[in-house]
Amino acid sequence: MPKVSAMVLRTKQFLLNRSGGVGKRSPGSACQERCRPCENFHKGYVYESAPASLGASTFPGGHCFENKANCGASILYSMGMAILRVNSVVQVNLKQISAFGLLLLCAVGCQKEEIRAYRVPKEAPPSQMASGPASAADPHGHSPGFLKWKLPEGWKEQGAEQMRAASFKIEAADGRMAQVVAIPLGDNPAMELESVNIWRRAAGLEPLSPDKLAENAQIVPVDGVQGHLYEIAAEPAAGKVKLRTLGVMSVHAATVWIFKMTGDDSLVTEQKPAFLAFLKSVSFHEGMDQQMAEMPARVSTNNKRIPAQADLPKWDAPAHWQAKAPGPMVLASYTVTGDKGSADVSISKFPGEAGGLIQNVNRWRGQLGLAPAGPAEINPGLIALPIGDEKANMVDLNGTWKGKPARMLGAIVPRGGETWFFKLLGDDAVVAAEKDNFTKFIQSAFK
Amino acid sequence: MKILNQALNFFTSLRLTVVCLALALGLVFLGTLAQVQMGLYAVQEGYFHSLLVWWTPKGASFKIPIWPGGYLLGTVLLVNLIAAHVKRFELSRKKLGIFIVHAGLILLLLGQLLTELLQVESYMRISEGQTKNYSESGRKNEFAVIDHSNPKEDYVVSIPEKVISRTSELATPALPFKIKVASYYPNSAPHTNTTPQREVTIEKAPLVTAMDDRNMATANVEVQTDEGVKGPFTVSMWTQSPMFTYKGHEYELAVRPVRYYKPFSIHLIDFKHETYKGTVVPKNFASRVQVARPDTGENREVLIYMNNPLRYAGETYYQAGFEPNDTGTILQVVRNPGWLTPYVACTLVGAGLLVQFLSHLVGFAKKRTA
Repeated sequence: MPKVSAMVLRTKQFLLNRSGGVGKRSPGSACQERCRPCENFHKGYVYESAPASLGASTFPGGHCFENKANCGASILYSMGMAILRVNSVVQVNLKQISAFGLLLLCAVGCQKEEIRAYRVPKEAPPSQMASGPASAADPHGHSPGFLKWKLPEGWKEQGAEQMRAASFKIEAADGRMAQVVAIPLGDNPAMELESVNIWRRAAGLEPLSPDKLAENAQIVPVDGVQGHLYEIAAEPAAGKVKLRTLGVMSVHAATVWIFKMTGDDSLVTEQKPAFLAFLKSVSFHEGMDQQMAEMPARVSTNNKRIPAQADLPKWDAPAHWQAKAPGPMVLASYTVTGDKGSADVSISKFPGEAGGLIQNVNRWRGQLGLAPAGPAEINPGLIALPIGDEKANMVDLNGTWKGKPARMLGAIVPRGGETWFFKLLGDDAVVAAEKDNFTKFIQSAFK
Repeated sequence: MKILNQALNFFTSLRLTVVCLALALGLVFLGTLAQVQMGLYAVQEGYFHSLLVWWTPKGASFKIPIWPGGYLLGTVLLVNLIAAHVKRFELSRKKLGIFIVHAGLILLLLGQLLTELLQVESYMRISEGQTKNYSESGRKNEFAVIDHSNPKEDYVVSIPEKVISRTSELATPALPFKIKVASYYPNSAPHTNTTPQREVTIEKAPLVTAMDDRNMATANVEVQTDEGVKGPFTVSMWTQSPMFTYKGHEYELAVRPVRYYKPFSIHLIDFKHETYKGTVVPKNFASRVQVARPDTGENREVLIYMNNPLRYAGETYYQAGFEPNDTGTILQVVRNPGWLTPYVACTLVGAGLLVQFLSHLVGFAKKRTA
């Protein structure tokens, strides 16, 4: 009689102890019923497929066990092993599947970026804003989307370079050369003085102070707006070519533009009439101011309010002032509509002095088509604006805006290391009627 | 065999599940705090779309991993869930509900992983009256060479940023010339200098991480042809694209957001932005668009507004923003093949919980009546 191995006994005990609850037969007893009397072993039972390792005697025709319980246990054990074998296959497959899955993930996630070539229909020119590439040039003018001009004779257009919106080369037959560029600089009012002084330093001249700037400027028209022309030349060192620079600063739709001709002194002098004619022919597209932002300011519909509202002072805007989404460089904007026209209010802020009082007043004067003025002319016209315990300055200007007579009230408020600019610009009747409201609005911002 | 059993025990243990969930909780907390400084996009990439969260000690040039990232935790949780299920699988009516719940969780995890790998997000900015047939990536840029010679169509060769930034000379069968890359700046900024020839130059700038910012790339290139060298050109998102002519073809060089062209076009008829009266608090944003598809002849008007996107051709168009002065709309375009999985997964989880609850309730009720 073979002895039942310890393993079989442990297996039997483990399996028989697993019961499925009240009234349920143990798995072991169910298996015992599958055992039938062993034909070749007078004490044992036999079942159909008992593994020899369970310690049963092996006789031809089957395996025998000492008793029915061991027989049942061995059936259960073999069933368990069968399940584990399935599981191990699943586990192995799981490993393989996981490995494959990881490879697949890597293949998907680490997709190699490749060069693509394709054909697309021509892009239709946008109705308002230029977001595509430069359109084709006509014989006399060119339109890079927002700037148009008439190309003077002998000027060769070059590709855009660095920050230049347009670039031209002039080459005389005797080899003298000059270059013309058009560069948008943004809306920082300090740029005019800064740029002029860069040109002056390059020519070996002393920089200008803000109050001297106006004296050195000539008024030239650029798309209906008066620009400031600065002519800079200096005696060169021995053996060097004398250079002359004609630099024009023009503000159009909240953007400062530079138009500059630099080159051989005599050639620049000869080309000055052509340069002035070129400036007269320049025209800016409607909506150009929005294109000149680094990326036109996006307003997310996730914002609870129009952007920057939360950072703005808590001013009291009159109820009839209609708030509108501010443009680039502008923190807030309102429209005022009256019986005799309309006006716009805009509020902006720049760090530091932002060019100072005279510079900014001249910027506004330029927007209205007025000639720049010096301190002697500007200071007497300043209106003192009390704001709390401090004072700010306001100007009242009359000129033209977009071809129509216009009036502007502009206030410059230095506060906390920054300079705030408040501007009311529009029809004279509306501006006159809103002057008190405008003043109170500014004062309410800093209470 | 022993190792396999140990691995199996490890991956099927409940302890691993609890540890992973605790680490995930910590990851979300750390990511939320880091977002203040780093911005949402950078935190998403560094904390959640990665295997490990890396940290650079102040002044050091090396990085050390400090926390398991979202991909690692998600994968381990998924393996843990599946392995435990396989090991302890017992098909019985009593556990049917739990089986359905776990199936829902597995589907949720897998679905989110597929979304991460396959989702494409882009934006379509359209001015009123304008028609567009492409959307642009909000973050990725490309270097494009465009042949405008054909009057009806443009031939575009799009070079990914990863390719152009890692090469000094690019030759491709798609172009009849080589492009020599002197430098590529993934982000750049204009800089005023004092040289007499140029007032403003474009210099390399650090990459931006804030959600509303984008990297303005710049490439300084030359084009090498058999007619000679064309350029050098500064191709920048700050400036107009340079153009040149070669063998009668007019080429444009552009650095621009990656474009995804569609087989249909969207025309913006009107954009409306309403505010509550007397305030600047937005009330409603709506874009009335015309969708036209030449190959199917489809041409219909659609209104896209808040919480009412357009689902079309496997993509979803959400009202995301608008241009200043209400002159145009910005639609967020999302292609997500796995968009249904969260809904199915949540349904499965809900159904599983219901089944499990009801089976216990019925059993309890039966015992009580007995």
